[in-house]
Amino acid sequence: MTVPESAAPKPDLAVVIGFRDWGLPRLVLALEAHAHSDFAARLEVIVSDYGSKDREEVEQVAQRGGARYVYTEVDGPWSRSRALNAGIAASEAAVVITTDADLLFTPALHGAAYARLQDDPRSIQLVQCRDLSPGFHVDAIDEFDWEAFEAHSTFRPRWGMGGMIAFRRECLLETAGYDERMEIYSGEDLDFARRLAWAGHRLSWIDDPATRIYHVWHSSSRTAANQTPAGRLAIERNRSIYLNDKTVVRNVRRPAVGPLASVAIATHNRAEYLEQALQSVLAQPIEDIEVVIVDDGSTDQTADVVRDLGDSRLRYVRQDNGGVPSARNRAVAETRSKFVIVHDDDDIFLPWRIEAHFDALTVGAHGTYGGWVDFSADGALAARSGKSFSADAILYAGGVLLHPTLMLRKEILERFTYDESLRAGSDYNLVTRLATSGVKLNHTGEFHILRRLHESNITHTTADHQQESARRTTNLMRRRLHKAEEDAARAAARGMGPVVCRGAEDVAGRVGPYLPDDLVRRTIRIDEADAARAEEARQVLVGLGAKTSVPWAALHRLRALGVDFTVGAAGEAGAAPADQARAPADEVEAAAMRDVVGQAIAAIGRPGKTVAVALTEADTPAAEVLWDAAPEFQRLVAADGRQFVAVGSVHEHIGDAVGAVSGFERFSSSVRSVVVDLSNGNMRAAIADGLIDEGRGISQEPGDAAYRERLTGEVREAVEQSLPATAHVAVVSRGDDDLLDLDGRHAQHFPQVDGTYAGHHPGDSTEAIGFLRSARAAGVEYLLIPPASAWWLDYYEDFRRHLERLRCVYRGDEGAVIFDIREPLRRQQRVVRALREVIRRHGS
Amino acid sequence: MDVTIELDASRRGTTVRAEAGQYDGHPLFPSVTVSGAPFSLHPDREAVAAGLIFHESVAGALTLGRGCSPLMASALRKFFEPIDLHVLSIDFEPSRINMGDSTLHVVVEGVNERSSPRTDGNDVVFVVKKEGAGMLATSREVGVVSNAVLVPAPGDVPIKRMLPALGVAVLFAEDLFVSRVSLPGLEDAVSTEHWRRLGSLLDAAGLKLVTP
Repeated sequence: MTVPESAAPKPDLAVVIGFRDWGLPRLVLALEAHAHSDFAARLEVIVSDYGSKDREEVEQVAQRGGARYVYTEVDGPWSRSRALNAGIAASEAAVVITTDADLLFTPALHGAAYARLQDDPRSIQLVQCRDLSPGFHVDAIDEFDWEAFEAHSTFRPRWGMGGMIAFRRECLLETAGYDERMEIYSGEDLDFARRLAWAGHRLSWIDDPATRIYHVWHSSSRTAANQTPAGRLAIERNRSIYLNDKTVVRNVRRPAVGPLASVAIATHNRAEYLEQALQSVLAQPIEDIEVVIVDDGSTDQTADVVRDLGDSRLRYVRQDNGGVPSARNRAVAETRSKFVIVHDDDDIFLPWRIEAHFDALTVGAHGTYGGWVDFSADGALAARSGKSFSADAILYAGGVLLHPTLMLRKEILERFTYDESLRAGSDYNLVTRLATSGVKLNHTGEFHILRRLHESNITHTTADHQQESARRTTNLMRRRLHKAEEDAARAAARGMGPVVCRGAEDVAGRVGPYLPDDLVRRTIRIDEADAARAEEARQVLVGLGAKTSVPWAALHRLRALGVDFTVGAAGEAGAAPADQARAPADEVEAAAMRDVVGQAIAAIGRPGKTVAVALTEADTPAAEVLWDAAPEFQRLVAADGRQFVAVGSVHEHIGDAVGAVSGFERFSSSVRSVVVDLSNGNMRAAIADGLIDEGRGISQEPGDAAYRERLTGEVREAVEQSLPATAHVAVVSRGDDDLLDLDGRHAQHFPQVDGTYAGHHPGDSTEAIGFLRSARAAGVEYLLIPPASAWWLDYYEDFRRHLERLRCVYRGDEGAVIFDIREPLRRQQRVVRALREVIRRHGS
Repeated sequence: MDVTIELDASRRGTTVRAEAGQYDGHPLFPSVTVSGAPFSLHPDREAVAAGLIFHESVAGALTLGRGCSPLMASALRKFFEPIDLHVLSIDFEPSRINMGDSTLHVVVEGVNERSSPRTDGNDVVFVVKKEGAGMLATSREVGVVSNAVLVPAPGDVPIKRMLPALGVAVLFAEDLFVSRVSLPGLEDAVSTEHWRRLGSLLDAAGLKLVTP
């Protein structure tokens, strides 16, 4: 959150008091004490009200006391962290004191704290408070008799962080403020002060008789907090954070003061790649960043590309062409945050990268880095995890880190500038110098970028210079060690393995969805609970023509709208179009759906056809669209006090019904849908079994015991006849676990995600083939298509053709089919098989 | 803060290590390395080096690996004021510091490297570079590499920026038989409070801070 500019002179010092509901009279007294400060003319006091019930009363007290009032709307427990961060964000002073509403400051204290911070800017100033005796409760104090207070108070032992913390505002850029996970009571000030120490600020106690804080007596807050389970849990959780979390920066998604980090990009004539590089940075979920682009004298459309993106976080700086190191140094100089994230103008920034950087930035680390995945023009991926960072690893192991995966504290890059005398290899030179100078970098355990390999890579164009520069750098640094030490370092480096990055076992799944637009069919699932925002997101997608693939431009725009989404790739089981709208299970919805399916079948169902039914909450944009989209069947359904809109359509072919359902689900994540297949004898069977009363429709979804028994019996027969006992089988199951009961054989659902049924049909053949490949990679040997799913072979034509290259081990009269998916048939075999199929169809 | 100084057995390096206490600022470089090691090092000179190298981080208690004399402890307290420094490792047993009669001109990369020290007789120019490898020694000049040059000092006050590298130079004062220290190019700092405090601290270790 950045501080707004103000026309009035800024105060030098801000006192921020967190407040909620309790102790208004003590707040009155505290404000009066601040108003009597010797520093009053240069001071502002901010009362940060975190959700008081009677905000008007608190506001009046603040204003009467000469304080600014900041209110945060809250529907949750008290959080001193959030209250203080909100007040700090609202302040404009260079120095901040955070304190409580029940503390009385002596008049000299503010000025003393301010002066000491001027003398020792890298310090934090603390004053320990003195507890006034019970006789000095708020009603008993009618004047500030400091001598009496001194005589009737006891010094609180200096084991905590005192009654106030004074610090320079820029400290917040290094820590992102108080940890907002901490709630109710205790630990947030200890944690904050400790992280400030980790960031290099010493804690200094002001111990001067003229500079005192007196705590007005009242009953213990901790006792009150401990009375409730929620309070006790919060105290425990706070304690756990304090004891276990060694990261320096918190609140990464919402820093108290920003920008949290600066992405520094040096560019020269790479307009063709720069746009997607920038969109990938802007589409990641952390908003409070800046992106500094130093244009090193480009003669192409680089400036236009940056301008046309229209994002205020982009800062474009142009300089005469001076080379990569000079542009990088300029980028660092232009950054305004305390952390610099290096990124190249032709690479893709993965969305989890910034959070990963800060999650790994623990005490003592000067920066963090990650793995990378190379991709080429044909979309081939090669993952590189990197290795643990050390001087010996850099010099003797190789493959330790890639420069554009780095984040460094700015003060490090100000000391280790890029060597502008080098024509090439300044990145390696920098990293080597960092390593040999005692800089400590932590690996995040994540892939950070997709690195684009292309002909105009600097690595390609200046290969000779790179090598020469690297060798010279290496040889210089090798002189630190004598031969025996170097031999030992080499031996250790040989044994050094790569760091394991998350997703390394499925790189395509992990990073594939983020490839450039021309290399991936990107899908998206809108995870937005707010219906209006979800509709806005849909309009963005429609406006950008995102029918077959969602471009990076759309991700950038959706992020700018504040929409939550999940990205996948067609053929990957992450977010296929049909998965887009899967709402969480809801018993009321399910009951409504069961009712309306019966009604729809009764109204429009016909033997041999398929009915598609969609359901969503009434009074939503999606409901209106659905109502207009399906004229054959429309109902309003009430269930448990909620209103739903249901629509239905009947189709010749189940594939068409599936397509209709996909279309319904694209409108919103809140749409649930069902396809009821009344073909292949199922309708007759269902009527015979009493599942359908032609007057009333299906009483429950297909899955009734008798129906299921028929279905599964046929499948078991197919398997018994044609598959070995040890076979590993994928079953097109629609999630029906009974279909996996194959007499001890290893069976799994198809399609499957993360070991469970994917929850949806594939959107098209490409996706179906993708699922099949994933299953094969997981060890599946056979694909079983039960009779109820025989329509797959009609609907997914390319998928059928794909399967026809494989050996069919079973084909039943009722429609069950089993394919051996282990390897494709040889051509001759395919020809023979095709001939046999022709003969079978047309008679011998 | 606990500070220890390790001399590499092969004399090719020195490491000054700090372990921050509860109230200390964590140093940007908790291990300050030097590409050379002195032959002899008095504990009081060690104490001066520790105080200068980590002067921006120490908050209160200071423990030194080999302790220091009461005089040095007092000098450190005064140097750090208004910070309430407590030196916890005082050695009351007196011991002699070998001193010579020459001046050590300290030149630090990025601070006063452009200055031209006015050397005389047996004076030595001690150059501290921030990056590189190895130590170069002639009869009149010694050059070392140390990340002490990279230790931050807020504000743009040259004498403050120089302090950590000066601490490195003090480690070698005994080997070089110097009794005076000069900071070429920092003439403007002579009348300042920083200069006065630094002079008092060096004086307690038998080194006189002279006008450049």
